[in-house]
Amino acid sequence: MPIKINGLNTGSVTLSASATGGDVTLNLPNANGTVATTSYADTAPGLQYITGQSFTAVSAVNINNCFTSTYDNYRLIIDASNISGTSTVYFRLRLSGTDATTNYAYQYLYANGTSVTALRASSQTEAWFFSSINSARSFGSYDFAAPALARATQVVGNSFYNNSNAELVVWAVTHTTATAYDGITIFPGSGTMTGTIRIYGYRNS
Amino acid sequence: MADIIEIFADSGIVIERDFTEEELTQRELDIIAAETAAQEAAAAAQAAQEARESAINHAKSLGFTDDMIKVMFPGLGDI
Repeated sequence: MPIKINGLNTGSVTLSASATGGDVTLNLPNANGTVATTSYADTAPGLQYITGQSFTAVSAVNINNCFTSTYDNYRLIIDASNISGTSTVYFRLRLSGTDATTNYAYQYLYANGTSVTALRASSQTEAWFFSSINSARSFGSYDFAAPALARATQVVGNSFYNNSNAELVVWAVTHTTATAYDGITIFPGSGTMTGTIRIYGYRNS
Repeated sequence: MADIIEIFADSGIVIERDFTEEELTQRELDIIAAETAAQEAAAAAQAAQEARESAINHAKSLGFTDDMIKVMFPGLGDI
């Protein structure tokens, strides 16, 4: 409920409640005449949008300062309308603008109709976590566990391999270097990619 | 078209730029690695298909019908 305060001559001040839930306290001026407020801490559980970007025909997307101590876990969503070249997409964790290029391992489980194929690779210089067939549109969603904590980072997610055929890939990735990272680089194996990437943080409580 | 789009999540700054010399060298290595990974994945898929066909043919050689094979080995899918 907004509260309107009329000025002595002209004009007014309107106090409005916060658009989101929670209490905000506005304290009256103290003896020095200053107004002290307590900021509203949004502690509701759920996903918090951190950053996102659309891109066209790029060879890499570098996202800096997206992983912080604010959240332990993150959700990354990639929606690619085109991946040229090998139609494979990789990521590397990064710190202060430099990619980590060792200690990745990944496992995928690829389902095409009634056929299921599995593959694992270790000691990689990057993590394969997304693919499409014939450069077609594809979509993937991944959870990152503790990239900004000084421990190994695990990633698990799902993606379409062939959108028109609903072929599914389940991915698991681990990066075993116990370092706190603040960013991620996403890049196609060869050629370029076009699409949108969004990153969200899971509130810790 | 720039090689890289670089996003700073804290400030909202977005920069489009080309590879540095060091990044370009890494990029060339990445392309080779990606082609190798794609070949390994294709080989794994091919091996799985061949193993499936081999299992079906062996079961048939023992006198099992398609319906019996489906019941005994549902993981093989459509015969």
